[in-house]
Amino acid sequence: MMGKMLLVLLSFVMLTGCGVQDHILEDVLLAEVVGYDTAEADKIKGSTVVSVSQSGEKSSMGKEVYTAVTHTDKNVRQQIESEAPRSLVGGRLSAILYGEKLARKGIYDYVDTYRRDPAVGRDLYLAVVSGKAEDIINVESKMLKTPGVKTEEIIDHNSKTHLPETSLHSFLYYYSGKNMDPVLPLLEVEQNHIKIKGIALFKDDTYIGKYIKYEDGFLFKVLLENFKKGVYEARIKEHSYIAIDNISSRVKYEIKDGNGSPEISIKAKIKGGVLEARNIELKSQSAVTAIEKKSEKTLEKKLDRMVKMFQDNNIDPLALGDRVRSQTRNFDSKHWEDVYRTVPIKVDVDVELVQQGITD
Amino acid sequence: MKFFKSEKKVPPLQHDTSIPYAEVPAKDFEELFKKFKASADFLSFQYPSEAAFTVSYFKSIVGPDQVHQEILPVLTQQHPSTLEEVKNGIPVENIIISNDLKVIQDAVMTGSVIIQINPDNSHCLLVPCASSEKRQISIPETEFSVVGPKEAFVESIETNINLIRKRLPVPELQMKEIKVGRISQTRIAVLYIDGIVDQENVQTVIQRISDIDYDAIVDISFIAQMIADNQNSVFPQFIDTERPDRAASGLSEGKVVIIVDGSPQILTGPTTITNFFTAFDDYFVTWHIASVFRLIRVFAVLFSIMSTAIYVAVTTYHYQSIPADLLPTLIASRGAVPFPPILEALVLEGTIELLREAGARLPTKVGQTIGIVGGIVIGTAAVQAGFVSNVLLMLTALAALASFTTPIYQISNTIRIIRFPFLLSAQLYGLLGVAICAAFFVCHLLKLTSLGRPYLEPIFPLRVKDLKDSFIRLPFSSQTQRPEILRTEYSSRMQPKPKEDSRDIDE
Amino acid sequence: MDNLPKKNRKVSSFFAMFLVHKMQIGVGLLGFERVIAKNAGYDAWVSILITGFCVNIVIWMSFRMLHKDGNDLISIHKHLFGKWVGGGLSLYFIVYFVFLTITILRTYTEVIQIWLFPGINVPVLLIIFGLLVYSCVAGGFRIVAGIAFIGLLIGMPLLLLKYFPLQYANFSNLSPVLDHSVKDLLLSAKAVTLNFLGFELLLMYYPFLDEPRKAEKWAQIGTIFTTAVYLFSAFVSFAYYTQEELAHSIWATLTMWKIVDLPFVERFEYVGVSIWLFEIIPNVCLGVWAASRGVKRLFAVNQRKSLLFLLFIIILSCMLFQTRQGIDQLNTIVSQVGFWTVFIYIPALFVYYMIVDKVRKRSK
Repeated sequence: MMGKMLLVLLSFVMLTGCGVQDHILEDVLLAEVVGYDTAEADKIKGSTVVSVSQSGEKSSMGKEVYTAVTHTDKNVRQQIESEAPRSLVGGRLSAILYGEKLARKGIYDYVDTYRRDPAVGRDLYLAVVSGKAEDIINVESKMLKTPGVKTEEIIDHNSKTHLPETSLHSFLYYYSGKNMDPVLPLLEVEQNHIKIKGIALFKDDTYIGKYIKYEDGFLFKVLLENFKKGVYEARIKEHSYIAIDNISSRVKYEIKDGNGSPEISIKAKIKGGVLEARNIELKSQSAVTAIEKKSEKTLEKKLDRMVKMFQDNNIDPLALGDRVRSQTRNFDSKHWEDVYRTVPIKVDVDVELVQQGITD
Repeated sequence: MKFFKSEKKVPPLQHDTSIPYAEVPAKDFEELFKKFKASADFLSFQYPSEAAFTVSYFKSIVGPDQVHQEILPVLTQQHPSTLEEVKNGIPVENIIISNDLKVIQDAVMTGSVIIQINPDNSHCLLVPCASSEKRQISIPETEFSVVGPKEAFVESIETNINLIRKRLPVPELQMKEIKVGRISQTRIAVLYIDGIVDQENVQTVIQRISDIDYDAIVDISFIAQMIADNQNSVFPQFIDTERPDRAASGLSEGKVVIIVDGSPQILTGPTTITNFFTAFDDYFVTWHIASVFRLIRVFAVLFSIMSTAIYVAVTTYHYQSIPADLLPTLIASRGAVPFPPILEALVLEGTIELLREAGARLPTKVGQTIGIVGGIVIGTAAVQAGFVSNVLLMLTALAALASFTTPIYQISNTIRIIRFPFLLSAQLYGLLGVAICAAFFVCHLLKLTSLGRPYLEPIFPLRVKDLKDSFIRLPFSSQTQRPEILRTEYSSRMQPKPKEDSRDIDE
Repeated sequence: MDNLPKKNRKVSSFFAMFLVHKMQIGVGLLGFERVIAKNAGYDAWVSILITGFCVNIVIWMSFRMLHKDGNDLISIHKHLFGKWVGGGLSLYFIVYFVFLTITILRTYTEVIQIWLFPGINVPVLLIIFGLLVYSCVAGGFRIVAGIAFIGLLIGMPLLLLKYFPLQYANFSNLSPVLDHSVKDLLLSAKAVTLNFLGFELLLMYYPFLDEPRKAEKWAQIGTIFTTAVYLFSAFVSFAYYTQEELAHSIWATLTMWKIVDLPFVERFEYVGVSIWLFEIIPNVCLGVWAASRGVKRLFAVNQRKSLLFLLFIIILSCMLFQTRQGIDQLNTIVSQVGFWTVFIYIPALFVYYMIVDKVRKRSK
């Protein structure tokens, strides 16, 4: 009995000496968005929006911005701590932004630190900012009317229609995978609002300076994956446009001779409804068929141009190389890299208008 | 490493002769009478005349009507000359003539009248005419149910056995009686249905009860603690109930019932943990409803134990795991609180326990109402004063409410208590601490037995058949077998109906 | 037939399934993908099948020996090699069980260190685990089997969480199928071994199984179940990561829990690592139980004492491994040793046993 008592006593003594570092909810600064920009003399400037709890029963969250200029990313965090009243934690980061200039130098080092940190999630978004990342940070910190992080919400909302999935995970997926290149959303600030400008194109981790316009994001998504939302406006004639509401879009890649002289044909099938048809008759079946044909042509032309642009810049955001690999035994990755620019790629679009709204 | 040993060396029992009670009878008759006469309620008089008979008894436990109408008239009218004649004259059963001091003492103390012929006072005639005060049968209070029988056990062992026999009128319902308690000489009855019950269980119970050595057994809860397999466990190992219907149904399943005189509760065993989530009204409603209620109860108990611990773990260590939409609310409510989450939780849990304890001490059910109202007032004030956060207040109140859903009072006490280790371990290691604490409890529950039967059955050892009446209750038509855990001698409850071929539509 | 356990200490044959399966699913499941994909790339799922099948065969062999002998490995050793050589071989197995346990415990504490509490005091944590394991194992084999069963009950629902990574799955990663040489596949199959280790404990707990002939079927089913779980996990991880990224992910499954986003909990890895305790403790318990039982059988000492002694050694040795590299090395070594023990030694023992059995029968 004495022994047992001793044991209990001993364990209590031990327990007092083994506390772990806590992160009490209101005693930490939760970083929500982090932005990186280049600064003079090879330095980088990091800035972050943190949410600050305000006491009281019905209080909302305040937001503050901290910035620091140093050489490396981890130093940024350290520097910020010097002006922060409480410790800064990254466990609730929802977006990481990179200024255009920095992105053109390559962003992998600034991504890797987040991939390593077990406290950081995997579903946070990465984005390139046209201009400076700091601008978005400043706008973000003023958006207090509704809770939540605007940057994250905007990207999240649009990734159903005009953007491919661009979370940390997909960036790492496309960056680390062979024969594919990542893309990230390109954001800009317009009249104190955060806006998506388009899709920034990357070669490995370096922004090549070109982007797909926001409107054409839909087309890129058509090529990239199967999805079920989004609207695209196709020009039929001079002054007549048709807005196609995507019901379901499916894409198929047909690949021939992966290790020799490959040929790729992309077949996309869009089932859609008509949302808006300015100056267009839609009464007869033949009229609808004509419109389908016309819009197919327009889309194909645009997509051909897009794919050509990818090839010219030697980037592969569609993961064509990977698709070829998955259908080729003993795939020769070197050979593919050599021939990629010249591979004939044919895009075939099939539009089917199945709904014309509740009026005709 | 000596203190790890669990086999204790039991010292040989020494008979303690310093206890002057029942064990050691008086030396002679005079001494015994002297002892009796020391009490003011002991009556001893000569009747009808100086030289005839001496009649003595404790007037507090003897029915005066019986003495006046059945005993005294015999002495005056029939003029008996020997005790034999008196015995034949009095129309009462179980009259004994004895000169054994032990027998005399026991008889007198349980309400017998002593009649002696003067002057020879060595032999005594003992006429049992005890009168005992008992309460009327009332409706069950701790196990109240809206539908179903409204009888509850009372303090008298005869009445209680009567309530059970009434429901199971078969001679197989048998009873063993044991007297326990050096001072209290409490009557304990062990009931079982012969032919169904596993005799091993009966033997275990009787053995354990006979082994009890204690001065006064005042209530059945003494017995429940003394015969428990593991007396250091916070988990009750017998179900105590005040419902005769529950007792009868337990008996018919093959359980053993223990009744203690003077206690309005009875014990049934062996029992498993799932029995504690079984309210007897579950059998009064259809099986779907009963199953849902039982699942709700299980969930409520888990919630009650874990919720504040998880709150402490998450707010102290795992801010990452809070859903994004909940985060602002949580931060805002925590913002004003000056204490770390653990202290906040301890304060609030403490308050609730205080209210509960106070409510239990207040005389009526109104007391509980006042307690709850007090809780709301104190809670609101505490939140407004910034002492605790309102999210936690809500969680704690819900947890308290959830712990009331268990039908058996004993286990709800257990749930009250085991929250605190969870709370402390959450503070220590966050969610990992909660998991470690849970693992310790799982391990303890696995080791626990009730009358030697595994406590966690039917989960472990897994007995799929017994799951039919555990967390869910299947319809009566599938309850064809008695629970396997009870190892009944005759396990089938009814003839299962032959399966009918399902008829086609409109046939 | 020396001191076989009593009837009330045995578990039903059905539990062989849980015991075999539970011991195989452990800390390995959190990050086995990287190791197995090293050689065979994303064809490594074939290697899982190969290893699973081999394990089935080894289990079959073990049961053949055990059925004949009726007791455990130690009595088989004694029967075949006599007191001294047999005892030495049994001692080897005890040391091997201890190392298996150390690997499990140390790897799990590493997960805690990395994912939950970087500053945690490892010795204290290990002592708490030690107390937990002691209180389980001191309850006897039934309690150990019980904790294995409950661990399985609690752990199984975690498989449902694969739904989240499946949303991002890219199954084209897996094709073209069988694009690797047989040698690569076999090398990967060898790497899978560590994850399947633990079933050989049945050589120790065989006498504790009620109706052991029925138990064989359940043990085989348990292994098939394990194969299925690993196969499923590997498929999901392979579809979720590119090969290059997987090569960098030490804890692939844990990392996948990061994207779990339920209405009441985000970032499931914190909950997951905690729940995983229920997967680890049974394994440690079983390992320590088998080792302490072995010591008891071999040296005829009180099992409580041997248990305490072994726990002491295990906790001390766990403290010795401090770095990632050290722990990685430990895993590799145990995997190698386990491979030789399970796939070379046991089949050899089986063949020898059969020969000896035949010869002895004939000489009679």
